[in-house]
Amino acid sequence: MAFISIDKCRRRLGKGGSGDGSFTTFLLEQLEIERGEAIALTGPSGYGKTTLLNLIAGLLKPDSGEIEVAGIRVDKLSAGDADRFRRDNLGFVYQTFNLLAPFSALQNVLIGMRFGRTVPLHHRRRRAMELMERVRLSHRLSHCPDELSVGEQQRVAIARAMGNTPKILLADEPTANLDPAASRSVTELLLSLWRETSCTLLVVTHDPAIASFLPRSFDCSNLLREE
Amino acid sequence: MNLFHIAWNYLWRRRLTTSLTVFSVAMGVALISTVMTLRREAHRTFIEQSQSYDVVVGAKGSPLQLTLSTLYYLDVPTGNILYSDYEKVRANPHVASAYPLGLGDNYRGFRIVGTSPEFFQQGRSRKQSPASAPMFRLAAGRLFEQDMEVVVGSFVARTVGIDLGDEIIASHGVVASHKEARHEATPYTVVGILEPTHTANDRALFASLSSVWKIHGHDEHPHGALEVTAVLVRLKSAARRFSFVESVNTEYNAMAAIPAMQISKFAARVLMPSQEILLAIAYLVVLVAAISILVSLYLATSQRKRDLAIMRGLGASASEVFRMVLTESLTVSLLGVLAGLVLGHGASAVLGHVLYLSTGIVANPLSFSASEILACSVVFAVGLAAGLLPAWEAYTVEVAAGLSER
Repeated sequence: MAFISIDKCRRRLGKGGSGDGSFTTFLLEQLEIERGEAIALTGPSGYGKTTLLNLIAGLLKPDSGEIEVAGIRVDKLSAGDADRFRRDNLGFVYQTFNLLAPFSALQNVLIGMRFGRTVPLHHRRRRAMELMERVRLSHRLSHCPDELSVGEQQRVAIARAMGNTPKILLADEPTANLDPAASRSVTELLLSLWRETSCTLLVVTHDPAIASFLPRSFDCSNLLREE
Repeated sequence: MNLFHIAWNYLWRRRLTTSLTVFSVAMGVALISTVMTLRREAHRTFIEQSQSYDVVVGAKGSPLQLTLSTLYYLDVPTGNILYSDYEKVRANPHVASAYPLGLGDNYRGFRIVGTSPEFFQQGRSRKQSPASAPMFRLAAGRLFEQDMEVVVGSFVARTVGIDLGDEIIASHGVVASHKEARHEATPYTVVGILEPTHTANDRALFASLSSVWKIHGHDEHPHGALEVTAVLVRLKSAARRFSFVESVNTEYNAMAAIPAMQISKFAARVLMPSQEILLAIAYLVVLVAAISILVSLYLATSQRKRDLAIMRGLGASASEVFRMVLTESLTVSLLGVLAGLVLGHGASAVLGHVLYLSTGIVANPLSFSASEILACSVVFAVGLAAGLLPAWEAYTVEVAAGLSER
């Protein structure tokens, strides 16, 4: 059995754009991703890549079909169990970074570990400092998100996502808001962390150049249909 | 980073709103605290003082007026009674001690009280001996020994700036100080200054009864025509108060009243209802403060649904974000209650001083009662409850929708 396995997954998303009462439906026949694999989920914006990520993360439930991640039937989880599943297994990196504005860069990483709870309390600060050094931001520890460049913000978000040593790192368009140089830098950082930790890496991107850095791609162009 | 630390950062980020909300809670608590403290302290000291004597005997009239004018120097006396009546009271076998009071003059608004030297030999209450707990101690000088010598209460000495050896001119009447009514020809000499007693006696000056008679020209009359304003009586047994009052009212041309009963009735009929109204206003302020907690937290929660979704994405459970928002309302309520207590007891100190200036009654602004602690707990609970709706908003936040906002 693959580490991530999706089988005949269907999820109605909302009314379609044609105005004839049809609905937009997400439909994925099958996707299997092995443990430790790095995969790019590619396709144009608005074609269901983020929906796929949310289904894998247990943030959305399919109307039918099966989703199994790390031996857990994610589609069967209750809301509380889904919280615990994300906490114990996943790390997120978002297009808009999703840093918490009132907190410094270091505090953002610490908050990730506080809610993740996989790192013992007395090790958290040291680990957060190590991660900030790893993403080359040890000189920006006390800076709040609005005092950082977009590239720096994304590196903080990556440090935060890696805080709990997740089994799976989900990156949703991590380079979409960055300039080409920062995009390349962030992608390289993600890949080097993937190699160091042997986690499973899923990167959603519409940019073929970014996808080309990853060993495997999965085309998401045909995931949505009007029914 | 614990939940409190995270909640505090959000409160600090909107510190103007937080401060205003804390202030509104504090105002409510301060009002409650001030009303309760002053009510309790005024009631306590009023009652304590009223219990110093079992019975007060004076001219017929209002028993409450007699009590207020002789124990607290607040109202005008009901009139005078014969000195011979005082002697009869003193000779009564049930009477342990009887202190005559002769009122009628004042010095710059402070009453001059004619009395006997035994007045200074009494204990603080009927149960305390003069040796173990004396009502009066001299701060300087001595007690009066001759006519036209006066001993000054501590508040009078401090306020007016009187010193030993000073001569003072009394004015006729218990409050007025008209130049034409001044006893210029018969000045008093200050021979003693009393230590504070924390009673109305701090606001009085004391001379011999014969001084009061002399200043009004009564000393030339036969002894039987002499008068006193009232007699403060301590009985050998408090159980005899009612029978003693009855005997005075029927056998003497005078009236007797039980001060403790008069003051209790006065408190129940006049003081308490007005304080209840103030307290009701205070609770209304608290209600408004609770609504302001609700509004500010609700708006803050609505504005950071994305942050809450991010936390959920990081692994926070729904109950954790619920508790985090509740921690914010808890913090605001707690800060409001603490600031309110400081403000309230500060205001009690100021208003207590005003009370002392007008009545001589000392209210301890630092005293706490179970009812005040209960009231603060109620405010705290109301503030906490005001956080429930915003906390529920946080609990039910749509994680996927919040995270996918661009």
